[in-house]
Amino acid sequence: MIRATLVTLATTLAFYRQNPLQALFVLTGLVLGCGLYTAVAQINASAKASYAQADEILGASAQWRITDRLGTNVAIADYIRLRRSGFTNIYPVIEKRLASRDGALISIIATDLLVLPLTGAGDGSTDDSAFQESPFDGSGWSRLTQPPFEAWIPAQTAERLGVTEGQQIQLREGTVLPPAVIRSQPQQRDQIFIDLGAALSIFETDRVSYLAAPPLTPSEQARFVDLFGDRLVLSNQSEALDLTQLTQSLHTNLTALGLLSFVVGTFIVFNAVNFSLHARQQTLRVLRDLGAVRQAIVAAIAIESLIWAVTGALFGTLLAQPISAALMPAVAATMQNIYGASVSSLPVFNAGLFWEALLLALAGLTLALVLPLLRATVVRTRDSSADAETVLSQRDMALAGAGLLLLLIAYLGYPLASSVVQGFALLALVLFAGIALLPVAVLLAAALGRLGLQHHWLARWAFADVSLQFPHLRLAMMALLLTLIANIGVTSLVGSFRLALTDWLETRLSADFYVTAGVMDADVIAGEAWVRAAHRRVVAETSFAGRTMTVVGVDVDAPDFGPANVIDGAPNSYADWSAGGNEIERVFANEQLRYLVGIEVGDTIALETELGARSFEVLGFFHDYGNVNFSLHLASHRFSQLYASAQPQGWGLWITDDEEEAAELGLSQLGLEPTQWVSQRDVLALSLAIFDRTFAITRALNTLTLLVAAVAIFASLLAVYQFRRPEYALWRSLGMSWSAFFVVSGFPIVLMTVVVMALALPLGVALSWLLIHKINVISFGWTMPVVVAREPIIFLFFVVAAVVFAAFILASIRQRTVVNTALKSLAGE
Amino acid sequence: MSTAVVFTEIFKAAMFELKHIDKSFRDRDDFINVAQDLSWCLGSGESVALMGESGAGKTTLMNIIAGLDTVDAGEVWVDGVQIAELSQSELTAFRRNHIGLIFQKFHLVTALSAWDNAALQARLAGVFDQRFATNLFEMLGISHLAHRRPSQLSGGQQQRVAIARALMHRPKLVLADEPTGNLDEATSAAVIELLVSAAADAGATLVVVTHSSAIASHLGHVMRLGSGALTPA
Repeated sequence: MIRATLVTLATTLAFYRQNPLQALFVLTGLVLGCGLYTAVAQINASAKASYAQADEILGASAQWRITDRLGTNVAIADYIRLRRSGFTNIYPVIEKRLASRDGALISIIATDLLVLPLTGAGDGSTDDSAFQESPFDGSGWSRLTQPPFEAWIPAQTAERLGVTEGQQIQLREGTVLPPAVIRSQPQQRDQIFIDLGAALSIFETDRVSYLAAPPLTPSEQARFVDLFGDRLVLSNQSEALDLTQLTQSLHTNLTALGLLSFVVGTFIVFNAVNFSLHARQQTLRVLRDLGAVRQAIVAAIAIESLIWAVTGALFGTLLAQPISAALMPAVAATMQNIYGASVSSLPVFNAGLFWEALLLALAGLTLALVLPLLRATVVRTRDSSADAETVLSQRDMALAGAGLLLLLIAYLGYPLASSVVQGFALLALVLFAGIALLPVAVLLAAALGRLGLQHHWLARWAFADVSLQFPHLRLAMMALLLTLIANIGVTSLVGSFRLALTDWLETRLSADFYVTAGVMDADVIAGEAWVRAAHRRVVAETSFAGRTMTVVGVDVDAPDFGPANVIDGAPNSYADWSAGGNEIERVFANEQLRYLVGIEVGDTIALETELGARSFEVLGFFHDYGNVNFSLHLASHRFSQLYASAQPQGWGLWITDDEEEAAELGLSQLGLEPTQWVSQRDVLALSLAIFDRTFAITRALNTLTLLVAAVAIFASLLAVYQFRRPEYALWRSLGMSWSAFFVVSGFPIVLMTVVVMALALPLGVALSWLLIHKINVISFGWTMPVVVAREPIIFLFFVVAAVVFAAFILASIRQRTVVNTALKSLAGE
Repeated sequence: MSTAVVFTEIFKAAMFELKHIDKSFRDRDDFINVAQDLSWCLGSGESVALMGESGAGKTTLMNIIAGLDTVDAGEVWVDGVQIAELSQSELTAFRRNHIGLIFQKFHLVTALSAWDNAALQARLAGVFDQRFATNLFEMLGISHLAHRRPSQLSGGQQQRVAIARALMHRPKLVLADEPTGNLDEATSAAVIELLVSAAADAGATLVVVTHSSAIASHLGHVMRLGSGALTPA
């Protein structure tokens, strides 16, 4: 048996020596599939490793966080009082997320290294490769804390920002950071670290973002509440927003895209293995005739698969390294922009992923081998060509039935799905339904075309040829369909998201100018000729159901919030809200409270105010795209009573038509610096830039899966050409011109691609509907209208057409030579 | 004999003429000498059986006449045209218009019906004639099979369709390579009779490569190829 297996293996492997291109295709499919999957898995693992360190700051424990009861910023004076009261482990932290002058997003963290209670836990951190010396050694310490100070930038961040040692980063509002030093502290991630003193000086403030503290004993906690409970809030970070939970949807999304890549890769492998087994059928038959038992053949093919799997997983894991390194910055940006999670932009190599890739490769190969193997080892008793006359085989009909059933299950399951996993199961049903419906769609289109154009012999021939090419291209077309559905779904999702964000920004940022700093007198500003309206927005922060709750004081006559913004409110809800309540406050809540906590119109929420605990009745909801926090809108006259000491956030100025220049001049004359106001146009541009960066990862993965699908088509076309070479030689022997040849041989792929596009469009829209109305709502608690924009989908179809055309051209390049050579052996066949 | 010159019908116009051709190739360790200073001229409307040992190069010689293969030296004239001077596309067009080919394995297009298969070359040449096609199908006894696919036809029926295809565009030269090699004896006899009479009716010159003396007996002349030379049998 062993000898027979080895002889069989040597004989079957000899095929690849003769056909190195086939070996290349098997390997390409495996490497691309494993590579993309491993890259995404590595990105997920790296991001999750960052969350595990989320309650640490620069190597120090930050299990407890102290914030101001009425605002996020804590006065330095409070910090000093805390230390004088014996809380010496507490340290101040400033965290800012700003834009550089050229629009790059940067995160800044500042603390006092001298008081940092370092745990040493970060010593083994993997994102601190530049951390080679203690900050307290030599003169490094004094340079950091004394003018002109230093900004410590991790190497990967410096590379992203294009900053070199000694260079000073200028922020959008004009502030200049200290000279750059390329080094980092543990858990610094993608942040720029500066000394607290430098930060207070640069940002001209006497407040810090929060105070952090290592684990506190119960008695310390009690003493804190006694001494400072009236002004400051102590919260345990392990009970606060769970980043892992919050970002679960994105990771599931990424994993799904990674698996999609693997599935598409498996299609290539399936095709290549199928072809290589088919091409070796004669050899296998001879081996059987010579006495090789079926088990020996199966064992030989299993060993061959194992060799392929190990090689594919190995090269796939290697390929994953540059891919994940290229994608990680986009993921880090997504995490920071959507979830506020700080993630290193450098992926962490994880050797365990090789075994995962190997298992997946083996699973994929097993899948790819089962059918061809059965076909190759079982003696056929029936000629499959007898099926050729029927338009649809029983198998195709059964598959179409299964596809429709899957769609029905998805439709019925839609209202029942309530978790992210169930949401993705619905997506899988849609994708598999598409695959199952494809053969019938293609063959029916071909049959109808043939019927409709039966008087034109060349068209009849071209349509008839579809049924001959489709069996070879079926898997590649399925891979293309999967990719296209996912692309349309995600493109619509991103497009809807972008439009919703723009609408939201235009509503929320309807003011023409925002004065972010400086002092302006309300009466003076109201008297300016260029001012149409001027309103202040005041915010107080508290906590509700484990998340931050923002209470916003909104002027009832401010143009940026009106009855049109209210969802599901009673007809007089806006008037009631404007009037304000007496015993119960009246508010509008963001959708997040409705979807994540189950608050409905008429429900009340109890919140702490400066006048003690108050009840807030929800009169209606408003869209609040992308906000991870809960939010309430309270009429400003009530807000000023309940949160009298809350600091105004600045002014929103609406100017009279075409008075922009006059407004800027007027603001200057009021004593404001140009850096103290920002125009709506700039804010919109910055917001959309952040948005585009956020979704770069999705676009990159979509492009990669499209590339893999293109390889699948290319490989399949080569297989078709090799299988049908004698037939093509016959066409030429009958005097067929090359133009007619490429019309007939190329038409089926055009038709198949068109059918794939036609099928992908409704299924892709269904996918985006599920992503927006199910998964988005389950994950984030807010929804938005589904917008299916024509332009990006047309562009996508053009790209797919170009990709398929390129695959056809590449595969056809050698056709002339090869067919001409085949002509000579035609008669001798 | 280094030169074999055979004029079968010296007074008729030559359908094709091979002038001092050389052709040899290496097949693994074997050196195959197909033609050595070989000359052969065949007149219009003639029919000839080309016989010889396996590996003598009969198929290669047929391919050379059809323009599917090239010679090492010498000239190949078909219907007054030196085909070696034609480009690939000109050669394809020439074959489409002037030559009909019949293969041992029929080589029908599986996606097309018997009728469409038979009409294929005539349509490619733009000379499809419905009445002629109908008559040809009747003559070959396959009218009732016109709408069937190749997979629904027997070997003999498929070869009749292939014969119809080779004659449908009224070629001047029909080349058949072992046209009955895949058929039983009775069917072979019927098919070759049909082929010879259909070619004669169409006025086409017919060359049939065969191993069978019985098949050869249906044709006007028999030539034997061996050691690079062609001799009358």
